[in-house]
Amino acid sequence: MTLTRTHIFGFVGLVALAFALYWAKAEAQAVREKVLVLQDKVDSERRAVRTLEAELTWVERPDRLESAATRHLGMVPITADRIVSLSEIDQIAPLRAATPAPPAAVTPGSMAKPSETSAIAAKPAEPVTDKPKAVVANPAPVAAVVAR
Amino acid sequence: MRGRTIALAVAFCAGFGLLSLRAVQIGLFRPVDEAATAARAAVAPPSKRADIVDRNGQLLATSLVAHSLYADPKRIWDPVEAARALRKVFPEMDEASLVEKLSSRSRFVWIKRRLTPKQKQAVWELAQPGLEFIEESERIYPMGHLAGHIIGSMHPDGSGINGIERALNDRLTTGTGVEPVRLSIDMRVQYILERELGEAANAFRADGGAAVMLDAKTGEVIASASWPFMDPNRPEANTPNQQNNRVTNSRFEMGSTFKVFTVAIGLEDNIITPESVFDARAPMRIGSEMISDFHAMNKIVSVSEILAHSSNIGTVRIARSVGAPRVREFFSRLGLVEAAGGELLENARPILPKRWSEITAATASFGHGIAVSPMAVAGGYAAVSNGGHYIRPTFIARDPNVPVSSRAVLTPATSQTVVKLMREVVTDGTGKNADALGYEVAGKTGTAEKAGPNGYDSDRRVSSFAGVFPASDPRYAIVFLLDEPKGNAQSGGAATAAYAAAPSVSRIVARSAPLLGIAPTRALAQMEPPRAPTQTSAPPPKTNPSQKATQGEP
Repeated sequence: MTLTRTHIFGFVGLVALAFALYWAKAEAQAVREKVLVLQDKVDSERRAVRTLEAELTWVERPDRLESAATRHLGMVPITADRIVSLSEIDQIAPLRAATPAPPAAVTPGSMAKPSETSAIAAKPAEPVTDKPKAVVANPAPVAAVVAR
Repeated sequence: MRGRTIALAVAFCAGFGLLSLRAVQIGLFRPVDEAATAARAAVAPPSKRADIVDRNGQLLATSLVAHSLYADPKRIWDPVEAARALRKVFPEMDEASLVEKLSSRSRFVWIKRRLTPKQKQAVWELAQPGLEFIEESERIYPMGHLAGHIIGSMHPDGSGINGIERALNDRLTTGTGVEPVRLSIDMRVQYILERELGEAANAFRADGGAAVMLDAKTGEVIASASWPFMDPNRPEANTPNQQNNRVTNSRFEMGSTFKVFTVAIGLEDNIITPESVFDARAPMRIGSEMISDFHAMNKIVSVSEILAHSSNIGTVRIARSVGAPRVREFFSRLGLVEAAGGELLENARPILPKRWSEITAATASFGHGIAVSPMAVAGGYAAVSNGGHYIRPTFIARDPNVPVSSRAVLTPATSQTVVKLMREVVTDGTGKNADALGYEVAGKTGTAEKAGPNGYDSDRRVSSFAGVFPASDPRYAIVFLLDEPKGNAQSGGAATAAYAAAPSVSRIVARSAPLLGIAPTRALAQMEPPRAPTQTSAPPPKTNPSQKATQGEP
């Protein structure tokens, strides 16, 4: 039995193959470890999120919010007489007679028939000077304390 | 010599050949399980038990990882020094017993279970060798006692003791895993309900209290509270009395709130109309029972007066004209003869008359001789007011796209009439204190004497109000009950339903209706001018004393 070229090439090929396999395997192992490390990070992030969510809920307890809103902001629960529908606004808080507002916002049509949009648009340009008669014109603290 | 060389060569070749084959097998055919690892990681949540949230997604129960502290005494250098260091973090611990623990021969002793993050950091900073942490799952209820009876609590071993934690233990632990269980409760309303219940129970020194609000159109429990409250975070600290959920697990003879049901039968069967009149001039005798009115009117009364002024005699006359079998059948269709506690396992069956004779049907018609849970009454009120459909109450949020299963108990026309009569109780009768500006409460008061060893005891009462709102299109049913309230100075000594239960209902409705998206029904003419900001912090208006004087009893 003599060593032919074929034998030598075959042997070298085998060695190369073995090395390639080993390399692939080692690479796979490294990636797997990286995945586990990332996994661990994800887990601890998730835990942190859960903990923070629980803490957030704890500080958002309705009794705490209520006492804080009452003490610091003077808020009180909203009562029925402070709620009106959009269609009633004109009756409760009629637009005051036409003081010229910024020209761009006023067209003859919108002054003749005040719409909700013109009411809102005209308000900043026209500060209420007399005693406010209506809910919408009176920025009293109104809030549903436990609303989220 | 040559033969040995060849043999050696063959042996080496065979050996390396096998190794190469094995390398090929490992390299090519054994799967690398990184994909499996990643997939598993995505599915497995940090803890296995699902969260519980309210109908708006507000977190009610969650599982966190807590660190527990143990010691390995073999690695402790100086038990006395370690014990002193530990007492800086845990001042409540006893030094002698700590030293004993830390010098024991075992390799593992618990120092403290479930530390707070601060405590853990403090122990860490002690830098004592031999102190180790171990991760444990801990169930947290960030809302404290709010909805405690509904949510329930957990054993340290991880099983539910009561409430939803017990009733849905399987669904919480297996099932879809990460998906939280969404309850029908609205925590904002729950808070209002518990606040009013706690205040009323304290003000009237009650033995217990229960309050529940149902969505009359879907059967969903919006809020449900039982007093005394229970904090699920500390299951070991709750007495059995605290743990009892009075909404589903206690039974009360409800008294006059049942009259609504009796009138509903009469109207449904066309035996009476709201204008029908009955003789309530004198107490009546059925068998050996004498039936009289607490607040005797001594006249011929109409059906609406029977409800508005809570006439026992009139109600019994209606019950007699419809007959005992029909009373029984109707009560069972209203869900009053079965446990009505939804998913909860703390769910008592009602106490029913052993046989439905003329006498028992007559007393049951005004809520005596039959004891049901407050939840059952709320279910009944929802059914008679929502157009006549009985829907089983549930604590789990419904999918709005799935039709609600129900059974018909009344025609819509009868239902409307019943609501109208209940509204008259609030506008003209015993329920005046329950009305809420803009939200049209309709309902019925009930003050029932409790049965004692010698018959009914006039000093021990159950005062309740059951009703619906808004009366124009009833959406929510509410039951508010105090067990053995005692009169106080503010109520003028009275502890009947008109004083002990109705005012709380009024405040609950006034505060929760805006949150529930109910538009107030008030004519513009009635509008009060808006209050100045300085007046807004004034306490809510108390009931006008002169209005109280006109109130009827039960």
